[in-house]
Amino acid sequence: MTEQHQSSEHALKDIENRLNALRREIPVDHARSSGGSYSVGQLMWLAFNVVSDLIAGVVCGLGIGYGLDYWLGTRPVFIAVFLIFGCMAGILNVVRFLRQYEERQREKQADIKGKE
Amino acid sequence: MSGPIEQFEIKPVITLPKIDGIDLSFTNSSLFMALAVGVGSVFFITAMHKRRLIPTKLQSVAEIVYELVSGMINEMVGPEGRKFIPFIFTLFTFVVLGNLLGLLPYSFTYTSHFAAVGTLSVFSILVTVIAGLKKRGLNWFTNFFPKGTPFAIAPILVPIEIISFCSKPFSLTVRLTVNMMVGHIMLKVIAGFIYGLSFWGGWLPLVFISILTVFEMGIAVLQAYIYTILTCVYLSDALHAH
Repeated sequence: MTEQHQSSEHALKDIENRLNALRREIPVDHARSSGGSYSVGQLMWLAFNVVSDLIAGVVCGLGIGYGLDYWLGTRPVFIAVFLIFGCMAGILNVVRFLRQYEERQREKQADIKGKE
Repeated sequence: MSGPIEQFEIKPVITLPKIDGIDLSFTNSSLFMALAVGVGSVFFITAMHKRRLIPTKLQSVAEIVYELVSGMINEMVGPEGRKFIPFIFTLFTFVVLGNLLGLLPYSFTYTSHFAAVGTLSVFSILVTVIAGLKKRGLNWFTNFFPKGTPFAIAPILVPIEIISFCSKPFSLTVRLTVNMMVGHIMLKVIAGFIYGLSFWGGWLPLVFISILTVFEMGIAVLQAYIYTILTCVYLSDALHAH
């Protein structure tokens, strides 16, 4: 009886050792399953979002500047100022978007870990 | 054979007289918008006609769409966003049907037009603004100048925040429109290859276009999803302080 018990314990330990060895051997797959790296589709989606946010900021700044200049007759002044503001707004948009995205990703990971 | 851009041309279906120089004709764009509203309404009414505890196939589809939208709002906006479910649900259905109906041969994709999607985006941003003003009153304006920010940087921060706010409908529009336009042009160009290469060489683009069409259907749903999820994010921004 005790012999059998010992042998099963031994087998369990053996399995655990082998699993650990495997985990060390394939770190890339392990990282992917825990959300450490991104798939191509996800990266493309991110890139597209970032680009459209950037462009939107710049174009809106340009539009507001152009409108103000048209209205006040001060041709290059407001376009220059609002173009710079627009660039900053675009960058701000991107930073905000990425921060939100990261937060959500972290929450998802925490959920997955909680389930495990 | 028609060119790849011709599919985006707006043609009047029922020509109406101009009023004050504005052409109010019922165009193919209006036709497909009306069609999308009709198809959506008929689908959901027939699907939910006999509400059963054990849903039929159609009812399951309708429930999946509802769960998707309701889950999105719960996650992004929270419990106070529940009263916006009808609005967000309609928005999602309208955009997804516009994208999907546009994939049918000889149809028109109104979501590939800046004017159509731009109006929709400005309208949804206005809804979020009104919701924010209603809930938070004049406090909504602190979105442009968060509390605790040093007063000295106000001349820089306020215009940047205002531009950032104004760019929201624009970025929403660009994302959806460009995606739909590029997809449709690509499909048309590759379909042109099949015709040009005729029987002997046309097989390769035929295989490619088959894969691409399925891919494009996925994009149609995904882009509608992104459009609605971003509207939810903006709604949440309007309802809560940063």
